[in-house]
Formats: sequence, structure tokens, C-alpha cells
Amino acid sequence: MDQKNIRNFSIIAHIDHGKSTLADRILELTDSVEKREMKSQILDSMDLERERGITIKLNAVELVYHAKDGQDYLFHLIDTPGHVDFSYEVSRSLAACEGAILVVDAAQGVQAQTMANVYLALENDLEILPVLNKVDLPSAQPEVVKEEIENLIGLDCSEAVEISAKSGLNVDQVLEQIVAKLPAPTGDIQEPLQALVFDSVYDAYKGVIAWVSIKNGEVKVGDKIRLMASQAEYEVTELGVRTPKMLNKQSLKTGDVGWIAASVKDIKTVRVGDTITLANRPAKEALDGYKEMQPMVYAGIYPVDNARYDDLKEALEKLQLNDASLQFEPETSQALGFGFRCGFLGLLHMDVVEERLEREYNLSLIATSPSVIYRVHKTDRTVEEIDNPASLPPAQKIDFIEEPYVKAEILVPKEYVGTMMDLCQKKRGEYVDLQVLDDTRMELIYQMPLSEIIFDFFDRMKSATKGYASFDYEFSGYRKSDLQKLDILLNGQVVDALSIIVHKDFAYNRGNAMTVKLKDLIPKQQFEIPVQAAIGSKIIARTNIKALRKNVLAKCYGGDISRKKKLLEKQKEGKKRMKMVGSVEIPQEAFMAVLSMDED
Amino acid sequence: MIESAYLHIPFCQSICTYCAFERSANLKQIDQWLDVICDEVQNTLKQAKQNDPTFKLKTIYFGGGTPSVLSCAQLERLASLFADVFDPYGEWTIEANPESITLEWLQTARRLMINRISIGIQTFDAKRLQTLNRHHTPLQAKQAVALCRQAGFESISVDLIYGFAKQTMADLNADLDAFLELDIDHLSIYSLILEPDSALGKRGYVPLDEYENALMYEQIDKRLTQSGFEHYEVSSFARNQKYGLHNSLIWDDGQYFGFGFGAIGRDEQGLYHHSGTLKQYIQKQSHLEYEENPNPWFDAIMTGLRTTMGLNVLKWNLRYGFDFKQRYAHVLNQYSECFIEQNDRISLTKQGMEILDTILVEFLMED
Repeated sequence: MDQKNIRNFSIIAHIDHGKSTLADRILELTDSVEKREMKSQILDSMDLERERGITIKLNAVELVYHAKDGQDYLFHLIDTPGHVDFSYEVSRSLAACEGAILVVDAAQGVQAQTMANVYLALENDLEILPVLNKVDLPSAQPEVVKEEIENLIGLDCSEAVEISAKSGLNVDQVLEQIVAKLPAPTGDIQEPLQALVFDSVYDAYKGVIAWVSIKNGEVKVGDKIRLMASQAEYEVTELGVRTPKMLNKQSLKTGDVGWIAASVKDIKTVRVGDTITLANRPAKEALDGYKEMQPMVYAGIYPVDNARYDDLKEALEKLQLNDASLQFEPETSQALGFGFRCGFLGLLHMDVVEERLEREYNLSLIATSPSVIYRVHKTDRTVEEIDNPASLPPAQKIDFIEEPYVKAEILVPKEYVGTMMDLCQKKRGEYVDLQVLDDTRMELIYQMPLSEIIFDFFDRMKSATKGYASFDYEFSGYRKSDLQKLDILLNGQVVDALSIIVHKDFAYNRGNAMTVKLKDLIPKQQFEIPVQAAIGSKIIARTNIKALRKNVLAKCYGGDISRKKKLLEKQKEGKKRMKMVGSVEIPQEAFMAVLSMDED
Repeated sequence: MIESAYLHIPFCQSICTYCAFERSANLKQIDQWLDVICDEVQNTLKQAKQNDPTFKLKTIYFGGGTPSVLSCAQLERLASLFADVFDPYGEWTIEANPESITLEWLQTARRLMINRISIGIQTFDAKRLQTLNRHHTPLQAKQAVALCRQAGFESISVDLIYGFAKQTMADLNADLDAFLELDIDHLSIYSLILEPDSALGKRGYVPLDEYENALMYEQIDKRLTQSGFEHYEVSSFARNQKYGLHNSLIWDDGQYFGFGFGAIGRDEQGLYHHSGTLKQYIQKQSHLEYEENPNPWFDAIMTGLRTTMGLNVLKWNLRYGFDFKQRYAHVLNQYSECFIEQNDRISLTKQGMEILDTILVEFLMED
């Protein structure tokens, strides 16, 4: 197809504003999928994604659209993940496009991620088509929201289409605007190959599959290709597009968006953001924007059953084939035995990895509470980076500690500004700015320690503002903080996996909250168990788990036997997920207790 | 060879607030239900007799629900089906509520060879009877026992409950005094445990906590033992050798027919029950459904360790082909102070029995 009839675009939206539903409708209207074959939200191919209604991995689909001008157009719809953890991946998939459809919920209006995504799109010089979704809701206020978009983002909304992705209302007009308003790719097929890698996945048969957008030149089966960042070279074994079935082709030309397989076994050589070129006719420069992704959050992951260490290792290796941003290395804990310290992009990423390990590899796991990377400046003038609170050097060897800060941008309705500021203050936030956005909303900017954000900031923000606030953050640098290690002792023994690093002013409260929470979570055992929180050798909080006294179900007649057995089976399942630490049995949730503490 | 039968009568005059058993207060359905259960009993017994002409049932248990909601004629229709297979030296128990029994009904039962009765008294505290939605008075309870005696029942058992919210030790002692005054030889006494789908559970009623519950359990043990009773199972006391034979057989790795909707049966294949709802059962649309992953060796441990007799390890090894002591070495070791080994049997100490469920989960972990 003629390059001028190609349109490459993404859909960007705040979570739940209807991105995936709109994608489904576009797929239907372009006749690419039979309606009856449609599983809802077909682009989200992993079960987990469908269940959670979120998109984690990117995908690109090639569609043919018969426009009203009588011509056929080739669309490449590139899906983007919707969560702040994956903003680099969003940015790269946007770089693969020339345009973006901005979906805004006509009832909820502009949210923090709407803004964040728009900024990413603007950074990538994309043409943005605003679309108002859910206009059929009784609470929809399309005119108000249009004004909001014009004021907050500066996008002209005079021709913004009002749609209902759910019912399909006016989605055809969106397609016509894609043809009319989004530019065709501008590259030159005569130039040396430049293909932007915007996603890579591992396939057991094909090896690593790189999803690419061809910015210049052409690539054919049999070509020798080079990845410009890793300098690795391979021969293309297969390439093609997705329609949404995987379809093989002989070549991909400028403007095409598709996949390349080259029997690559190591996904680390095919990183998102890298540029593929031809080995015998390389491009002079790589495309802009490649970044090495750095995990922000670290946690220990251990098998409940120590004998399954090798299974966990294998599972992590397999998962990493599909997820280059997942890092792990072996770690030992006195309490938990052998496991891995894993690095994640954020808490959601951590959650997803943990759930996939348990579900897809049938593992029972314990995850320790997440930690950021602390920079420990020691008295001997060396600096140590610590991603595990248990490995913090003794206090007398520490000169000072630095921790990562983020710039948090929070959009909040006026009436909740006070509550929100309160929460940020409690989370050690430092006020930067407050902007009036319009009659109803304000934007708060705070500098906050990342460690406070990853704890329970998101949930508490949602509950403090009845779900109306939204936020986005970016790393803003390291700062010196007055931090201490808080240890938890069970039955007089420090449980290293429960140690956390806290700010001095919060140590007492956290210690108290931790001991109370653990008391509730740890089942009674045959003996009394003291639960203590300590800073160094000083005990700052203490409580006891009373000994088990009586635990026998009275009735056990014929009719009760199966009922009783079911109860015991249930207890067994719970027990299977517990870890024996010294002589104390600790349930999985206890290790994450710190995440759900209510300190108020 | 199966020598016991449990038959479930899923009807009640009214629904007790702590109950989560299969039961219905729609008494109009009883006759229809009788048609179905009589068929079931007849077919099963016929089959058993065909397989073994000498087939006899050593124990029969009519439980519920409330079996005493059956009229004399209804009871007769049901019980007569067992007449030729019941071993006259065996034990045939029926459960009854104090307010619904009459001398005539009791005499009918006796004539039909039913020789043991279990009376649901629960407590002698009038107010608490109300909380439980029981419709008898403490006086009626005492009169019921007298009526049973008059009708010729020599084996009488009483059900009591303890662990009510705010129950004091004095309250408990009063109940025990009232029981001892009845001068009967068997008591089943249960701590009040609320299942979430019972009415009291939904109402947010909170029974006594584990600690007070344990003190009461120990008090009951002490007082009844002093009065000549043997604490032969977690919640059962007997004197003059009047152990409940049916339950004792069940606890000793026994097999039994389970008749009627709401009954559990156990055979070579494991535990079974009737599928669906009572309505479906009455419409003959229910079938026997076995548990998914039967582990009869565990059933035997779970019930055997509830009794002071304990588990016959030799018999267990032969039946299930495991070596008990080897298979469960870990549990036996971890709770060594709780186990008593005597002859071929393993049983629990009093302390061990109090935390039986915790120990059972350990056994289950080895499966």
C-alpha cells in the first residue's frame, strides 16, 4: 500500500476511560475480526490483563479501513499500557506512531494520567485527536470536558467526536478523522533501515520477537540485522504483521508496523527503545529516546517451600524472557532461606510478576515488603547502594543516608485539596506548588520520598478523596533523609525479612502499627509469642500473641464429617502458605503487612 | 460390609438460630418426601440383602432436622422398612425435641424396635432457649425425659450446648446440675459454634472466646468425671457402659449408609451425600455424589483421635497400606507430649484433644 495511505496511531487515556473498548470497536469496524469471534478487549491477550482490565504488554494490529473517500487505508493500532509504572514503554510505543487518539471520559474529565500521556505524546511530536467517551452516561458533560481539555491541555476540541465506545456510537467518525487529520509516516524507503523496537516478547518457537515501527528503509527475511544499542547481529528468520492473527510477510517497508524474529534467545539484547538497522548498510544514527530501564522498587521473593528454589529460579528466568524490565539476583534471608531480590518498575509491576509466578508456575511465594534503593554514605567515605533493609550497615558506620524522591503531580477537586495536602504532609511530602486548573480542580505538586509513595499512598489518596484525585510521578533525584532501620523480633529473634527502613519521626508509630498488625495476622501457636519492634537494641513497641488454648470443633457426627473435613482442608491451604521462621509460623501476608498499615 | 445406617429427616417445626444443617420448616412436604426416601431405603436394603443373605444393621440412627416432627404413622412407615434387617441386639437411635414428643409417639417408636433416644435439650436456661429459637421450657425438658422412661427407653441421651455469649461458670454449673439431676447415662455437650449461614451468625452474635471456652470444657470434664461419667469422645460422656454405639462405630473408621437428603454416607469409595436441594430430592432429581479426592485414611484419623479409644494403628496400616508411624513421624514428634500409645492404639491426652483441629491439620499436611 502507498505510504501516504498508512496511519500509525495509539490510543491514550487515563485508566478506565475506555481505551481498550474503543480499540475493540475499531477492530470490528475495520472488519478485521468477525464480531462473533471477538472476545472483549482482544488486544489484552494475557488472562491476567483481561481479569484486571489493564494492559501490560504492548501490541500492534494491522487493519484495513475502507474510507468514505473510496480509498483503502492501512491502520496500525499500537496499544499502550495504562499505568504509571510503565511510562517508558508508553513513551516508546508512542514514538512508533505519528498520531494518538486521546480518550477522555465525558463524565470524569481530565485526569492525571490523561495529562501525563498527553505530555508523552507531545514530546514525541504526535498529532493528537481528542475523543470524548461515555457520552451516553447520564452524568456525561461533554461540553464541560471539552472546555477542560482546551484549557488544561490546549487542544482544539471544536471537532472532537463524542462517542460511546461501549455501544459503538460515532466510532466511525473517529476512523474518518484518523484518515483526515493524522499524518502519514514521513520516512524514506531509500534510506538505510531504522526500525524502532517498541516491544519485545519471547516465543518458545521463534525466540525473541521484536515489535517494530519501520521509520526508514526496508527489512526482508534473510537480512542480517544489527541492534544499535546492544550491537548484537542476527539473521531475520521470519517477519510479519498482526491482523490480529500473526501473519508472515516477506518484508516490512517504511511506515509498516510489525514483528521481526531472528532466533534471538536473550531478550536483553532486544531492548525496548533500541533501533534495528541492517548490518551491511547501517544507519548513521540510532533513533532518539533509548533509555536503559531501571527498576524503582525492590523486594525479596522466596518460595514457601525451600525445596522449590530451583523452580522459582526457572520461573523467573522464563518470565524475564518476556519482561526485560524484571531484574533478579539470588539472595539469602536468615528467616526465609534462599530466594531472590527482584527489581520492579513499580508496585503494580511487582504485583503482576508475583501473581504470574504463582498462577502460571504454580508456586507458593512470600514477597517481602518493597524497598527503594538507598544510598548509604558510610563513615569511611564510601557509598553503598542498599535495596534490602536487612543489609543496612550498623548505625555507627553510617554517616548519612540518601533516598530517592519523586515529583508528584496530583489533580484534585477543590474540596479535597486540604485533605490531600494533609496526606502528602503525612507522607513526608514537601510542598512545591498549587495551581488552579479551573473552577473545580487544582493541581498539587509535591516532592515526596518514593518509599512513601510505594507504601500505601495510592490507596489512601483514593479513599481520602472518594476516588476523585489522580496522580502521576517522576523520579526527581536523591536527597538526604534521617532514616533508621526498624527491626521486628518474633519470640525474641530478629526476622530479617520484616525489617524496614523508616524516617526517624515515624519509627515509633510504624513500629507500633507493625506489631499490632502482626499480632492479628500470625495465628496463635502452642506457646505465647512476643512481638517486638526495635531500633538497634532499643525496643520501641511490644505486644504478645497469646498461646493457643483450645481448637477443637465440638460436633463430629456422621453428618458433620464432610463439613468438618472441608474446614480442615481450608486450614491446611492456609498453612501451606505459611513460613516457619524459627519456631513461629508466619503467614505470607505478614511480610507485606507494612503496606496495609493504618497509622491514623 | 456395612453395618450402620444414618437417616436424615430434614424437617423442623421451626429453625434454630445456630443451625446450618439441611432442614426445612415446610412440613407439608413430608409425605412426598417419605415416598422418595422409602424407595431409596427399600432399594438399597434389597441390594444389600441380595449381596449377602445374612445382612444385618448393627446400628441405625434417625437424625435431623427433627425426627419427632414425623407423625406416628409416618414414623411407622419409615421404620418398618428396617424391621427385618435390624439386629435386635443392636442400637437404634432417634433424635427428638422435648416439645414435640408424646407418650403415644414414644411407644410407637419403642414398638418399632427403636431403643435409644437423644433429646435436644441444649440448655436449662429459659432465656437462652429463646435465643436459640427453641420452643420448649426447662420444665418440658425434664418431663420429656420422664416420658421416655415411661415409654420404656433405657438408653437416653441429652444434647447440651455451652459457650453462649456472656455465659458464666455459674450458668454452666446450673446446666450441669440440672442434667445430673435427670440421672441418665449419656450426654453430648457441644460448644456453640456459629456457621456464617446460621441465623445467629448473620446477626453478629459472638459466643464465648477460646479461653473461656477452654475453661468451661475443662469444668465439664471435671464435674462429669466426678459423677462417674467417662469422657469417651471430645463431646460425649457416658456411664454404665452406655456409649453411643452408632457414633462409636463411625468414629472407629466405620462405614455406613447415608439415607435421605442431608445425610452423609461412607463406603469403599469414600464419603457421599445427595446432590442438589431438598426440592430436587423430592422430585427424584438428586443422586449420590462422592467427595472429589477421597482420603479415607484421614477420615479414620480425624474421627479416631476424637475418642479416648483412639485409632487402631495396626488395623489402619492393613487397611490403607501405609505405615502410620512412618508416614506421620513428623506430627507424632512435633506433638509428642499429646499422644498416648497403648497396645495397637494411638490416642490423645486431654490437652492434645483440646487442640485436635490444629493437630489434624498437621496430619492433613502429609497428604
